[in-house]
Amino acid sequence: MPQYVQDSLNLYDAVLFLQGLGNTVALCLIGLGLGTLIALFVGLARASHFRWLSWPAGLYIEVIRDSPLLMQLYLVFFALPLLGLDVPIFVAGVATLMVNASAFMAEIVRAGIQSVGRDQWDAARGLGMGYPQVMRWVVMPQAFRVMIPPGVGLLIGLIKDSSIISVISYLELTRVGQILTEKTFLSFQVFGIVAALYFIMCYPLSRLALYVERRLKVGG
Amino acid sequence: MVKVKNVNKYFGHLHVLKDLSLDVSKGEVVVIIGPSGSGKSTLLRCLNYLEPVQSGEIWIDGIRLDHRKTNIRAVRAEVGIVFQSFNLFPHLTALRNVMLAPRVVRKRPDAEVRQAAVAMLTKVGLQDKIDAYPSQLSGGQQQRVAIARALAMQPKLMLFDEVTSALDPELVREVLDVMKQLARDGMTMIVVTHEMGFAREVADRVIFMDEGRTIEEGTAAELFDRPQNQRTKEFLGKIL
Repeated sequence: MPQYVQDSLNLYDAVLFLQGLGNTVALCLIGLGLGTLIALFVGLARASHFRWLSWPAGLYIEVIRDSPLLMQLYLVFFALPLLGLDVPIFVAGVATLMVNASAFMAEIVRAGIQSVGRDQWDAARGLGMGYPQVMRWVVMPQAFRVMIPPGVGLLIGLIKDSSIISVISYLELTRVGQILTEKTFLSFQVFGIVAALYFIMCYPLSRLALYVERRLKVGG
Repeated sequence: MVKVKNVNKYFGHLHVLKDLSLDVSKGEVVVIIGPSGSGKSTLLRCLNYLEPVQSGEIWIDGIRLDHRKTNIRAVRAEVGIVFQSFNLFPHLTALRNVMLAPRVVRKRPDAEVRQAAVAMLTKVGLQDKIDAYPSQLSGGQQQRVAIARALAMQPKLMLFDEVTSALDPELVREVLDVMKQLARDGMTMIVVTHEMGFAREVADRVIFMDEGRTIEEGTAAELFDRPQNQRTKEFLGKIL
């Protein structure tokens, strides 16, 4: 009697794991990278004294923070095509991560900026510096130090949450795990490997954050 | 150098400066004394427009401050201010604190700025602390860095806002010595302070302020030894 169920993982499966890992890394690098970049501007707007800047930024942040990542993914993937926008599956994943990261990170940026006291603004402005110069040379370097722990925490969280993108059948790490489990029923081994691969992505980030934080602390 | 004409300043409903006028000529050292809440610090902050005023005119070296066309940043670059709480940039070394504004505001080349900054820190007696971070310095040392930082912009006018009030008593002198030297070098200075000895030694004029007004002014000897106004007498009675 022919055996239809594969009873061990083989080299092809290993390649599939690597492909999933690569796709997850690509999703996160681009999505979270762009999201962090956008967050810088949204956070600056949110911390602004101008209402016409801080109010829309606040609205953007709240709308995204207070809705589930999964719904955002569905909206991008299923709703945008209804408006005539054909969104490729990878782009939908990247866009969702980007939007989500930008909102949460913007709040971290805002908190970082506001952690720098008014005395620093007084001193810098008293020396003739304008807003961009104060931000670039005085506020941001100090805010950055405050932003690292929650910022890295957020990035790690979102790397793991990128597994949700498996529901639109993008071949990222979690989707690979599902496919291989269906094929082999070796759910313990397969998801064990998937979990380990997420760990390998996140742990160095944790360590890096700790290292950078310590390095920056030298200045007191 | 400084001309303040009928200035009124409010914080909400609080009337902080009341129709205040003040003239300071080039090279003059003016000391302002008065009880806390009398508007001394606010006046200094208005002089480089860290605070806007609601009415009146402020002229610095012939430029009117609250004018649409006035480049406030250019004026600020000419007016150094030193604060009670030092306000050094904690992420930068002493040298970098002093170098920052000449580099990014004046946009002068790095080597030139560095040389001038070292000279300035030497002037305030901190040549061996140039690579220290503010957290590694005593209060007196931090305040001297703050003075060097302001001087590095080569200001025409220096404002000192109770710069020794946050210092331990034994550290006050090193800061006052720097300021005395500056006065002798001919810097135009407006100094808010409670250091009466300093006022006697270097002030060309002492002004007593109370409740947002200048009450009385004169030389240190006139004001301290023969105060005319009742409120001046009461204040001096409390602090001398």
